[in-house]
Parts: sequence; structure tokens; C-alpha cells
Amino acid sequence: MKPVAIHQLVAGFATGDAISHEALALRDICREAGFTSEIYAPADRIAVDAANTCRTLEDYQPQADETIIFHFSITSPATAAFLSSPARKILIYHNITPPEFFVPFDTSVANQLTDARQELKTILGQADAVWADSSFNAAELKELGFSNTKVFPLLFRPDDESIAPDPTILAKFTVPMKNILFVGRIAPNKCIEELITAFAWFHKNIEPQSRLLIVGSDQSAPTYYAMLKMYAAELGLDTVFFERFASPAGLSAYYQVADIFATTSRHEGYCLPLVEAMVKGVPVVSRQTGGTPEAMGDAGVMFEDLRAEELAELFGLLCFDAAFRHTVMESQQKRIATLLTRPVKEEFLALLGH
Amino acid sequence: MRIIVAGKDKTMEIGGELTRRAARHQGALSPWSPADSALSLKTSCNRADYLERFSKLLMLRYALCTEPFPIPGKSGTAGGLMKKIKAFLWKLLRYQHDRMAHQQNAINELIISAQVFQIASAKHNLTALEQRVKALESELSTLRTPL
Repeated sequence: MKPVAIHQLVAGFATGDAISHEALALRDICREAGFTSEIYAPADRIAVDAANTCRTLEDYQPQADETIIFHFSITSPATAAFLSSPARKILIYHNITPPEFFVPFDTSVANQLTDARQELKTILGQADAVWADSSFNAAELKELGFSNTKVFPLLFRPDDESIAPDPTILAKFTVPMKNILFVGRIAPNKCIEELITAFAWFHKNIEPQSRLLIVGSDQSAPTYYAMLKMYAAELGLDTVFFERFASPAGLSAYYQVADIFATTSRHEGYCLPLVEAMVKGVPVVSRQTGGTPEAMGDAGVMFEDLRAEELAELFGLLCFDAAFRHTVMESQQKRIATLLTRPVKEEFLALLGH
Repeated sequence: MRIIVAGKDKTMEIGGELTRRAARHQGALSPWSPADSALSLKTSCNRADYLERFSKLLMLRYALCTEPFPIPGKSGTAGGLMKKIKAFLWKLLRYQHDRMAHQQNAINELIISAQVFQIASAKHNLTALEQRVKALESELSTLRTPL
């Protein structure tokens, strides 16, 4: 029997967050296909600017004849709502950050992540279908003994072209310098300190007229953020800018001024900003880890086991070797063309069984 | 080392060149020893340990640096002249700057000390409370009548 409604549960909802972004895209597809569709999250975890987009968990009235999709990456009250729902249950596994990254910085988050791994086993046991947003994540589930996972790559929808880059940000970086950009949560698994070290060598010996722009929320681990600030100051780097959370217009401005997008993250389930940077025409350098090869495809530059000095030289190559940069950019354009023609709606409905 | 460019393994072509060029990066980036570097916070056992270490590192870093520093300049005559003017201005204004830096350092040190006192006091209170709870629990266990 075809369900009348397909709803989604998320642990939190915020503009700019990759999971929220995917939930929104799926909701639109569901509505387009004629289903009633809403997104629900715990009230205290819905960002103020998203209050009209996402409904609170208390509003969720589960029905047996509907489908509920649960985006899981951390413990939250949404888990209990999912488990107790009589609806057909679909889990989308977005990966759980290994808790050891958080132990030095926030014991409570580390504990939440440990609990999430336990919770995952229970959820897997009760879900009617399980999807993962990368093969890497599906492989993790297989290690837990769950092999019937379907891969549904994390959705990417390009931003509305009408969003103009924030002029105040463009003005802030108006002096032409080589800008290396990182976008993502400021969290210990991102290993941003390694990026700062590589940038320090680049700034000191390759291009003194350079900046490192770190854009992302510091709310996941404020103590980690404090360490990064202290480290940048320790290295005497006055052109490292911690820009924190950015609006879509802000993000557009950062991509516009960026010469390179770089990440030294050591754990990623997928990493959507890599794709966003490609769309914005910024060459991407990423560590090959977890789900990043799936996000990168045959595009950009990936590395493993590079010393900070070598990574700095790789930045130099991308900035000043026109042929190398051209090769990278061309590969990224091909990658984006593939992603933009992905038949998302058909793929999604086929997975649902419609 | 592994470098993949546009989906192709280019370690052989690029890797050697990167390593050769990287040899020019000499010396240490950080003026601090590994134990006093901000990165030492990564070895904290938990949040409490982090806070203790963080305060220690702050105590080492309260002062503004007034040492001479390399002034960046652009190439060409105008760039060189501008660099000299900047260096002169820095020398000229140092007497004023050093006075303000001294005042700021004093304030920074006091603020950090206040924070250290607060952490020590919170820790002391917590230990006292833990001991009290332990004592109460043990008292409670003696009051329970066996079934």
C-alpha cells in the first residue's frame, strides 16, 4: 500500500547543515510526488531562522500508514520517536564521529557519540530499510553485521543563483591575497590544526600575501576552537581568519574570494563542502579519508601522508602552476556536470519502492 | 605519501618534486616547546584536564609581543619606500605603544589569575562535595535495615 505521508526525523535542524540540507531536498521531492511531508526535530535543536521550515518533535503524530525517514548521526530525542513510531521505518546513516576525537575537548560529546554507536545497533534492529549516504558508511554498518544497506549518496542541491555574495565579506578581503578556504564544522575530527600548520609554511616561505579563512560553526567543540585560536596566535599568523557560521550569502562571498579549498579532516562520512567548492569553481585539496573519495569522484586533488611542508608546496603548485590548476579545474567541472544530472527523484522513489 | 589528481595517482610525478621543494622550509614554526604548545591540549585526558592545561598555557601567553617583526612590503621602488616608512613609524611610535602594551599585559595577567583562582576554587568545592556525598552514602548504608 502506498503511504499517504513520508516524514523525516532529524537530531537538529540548521541552515547550512548538510543533513538539514538533504532533509529539505527530500521533503521537496516527496511533496512534488504528492506525499504529505514534514521534517521534525527536537524543539531546542531547531535554529531560530529555521523555525518555519522544521516542525518540533512534539508535533509529530505517527501513523501506521506512513513512512518515516530518520537521519542518524548522534543521540537525540528523535531516536525514541523513531523507535516508537508504528510507521514504516527507514534509517539514513550519516556516520557517527569516532568519540576519541572529542575526548580531550568535550567529555559529554564523546559520551554522546559512544552512546550513539550503541543506539545504532538498536535502530538497525528495528528499521524496515537502511540507507547510507556513502559506501564508506555502508561498510561501517557491514562491520556491525548489517549487510543489507542501500547507498543513497548525500544530496547536493546548488544554491539559489540569485543569492548575491555578502558585500561586507567581499569588502573585508578586498586586498588581493591568495586565500585558502576551509568550510565545515570546527570539530576535532576535522584536524584544522594540520591545515593551520601547512598554511604557516605556505605563508612564511611561499606566499606571504596569503590568508587562511576558516568558516564554520564553533558550537560543536568550543574548547577545540579555543585551541585553534591559540595555535594560530602561537605561530604569529595574523592572516588566519576564524569566520564562524556563514549565511548562504556569506558562504557565496567566501567561495568567491577563495583561491583554494583545503581540508585536512581525518574523518568524514561524505563531506559536502568539497562538492560545494567545486560548484563555485574553487580547486579542492582534500585528505583521502572515509567518504571523501566518494564526494570527490575523479576530481580535485586528494592526498595521504603528506607532511605539512609538502602540503604547503601542494598549495603553491595549485596557486602558481597554471597547467596543474587547469587540470584540476577541468576535472571538477566534469564532476559537477555528473552530479547535477543525477536523477535524484527517480533514485529516491525507486529506493522507497514507488 | 599518495597524491591523486583528477582521479589519477600522480604520486610518482608530483611527490618527489613536493618533497624536494619542502626541504626549503627550515626551522621551527612555533616558539614554544611541544609541552607548552597549544597543540599539547590534544593530549588532555578529559575536559577538566583540558581546562587546567589551558589556564597554564594562558599564563605563559598573557603578554603582548612588542619585539621587532618583519614588515611585509611589495616589490618596486614605491614598495621599498613604503616599507621603510612603515619601519620608521613603528620605531617612532614604540615609546607610546610599549606603555600601552605594559598596561594591557598587567590587565591580561590579572584576568588570567582570576580565572585560575576560580578553577581552583571550583575544584576544591567539587572535591569537598564528593567527599560529603561519599560520607552520606556510607552513613545511609549503615541506616538501611537488612531484608
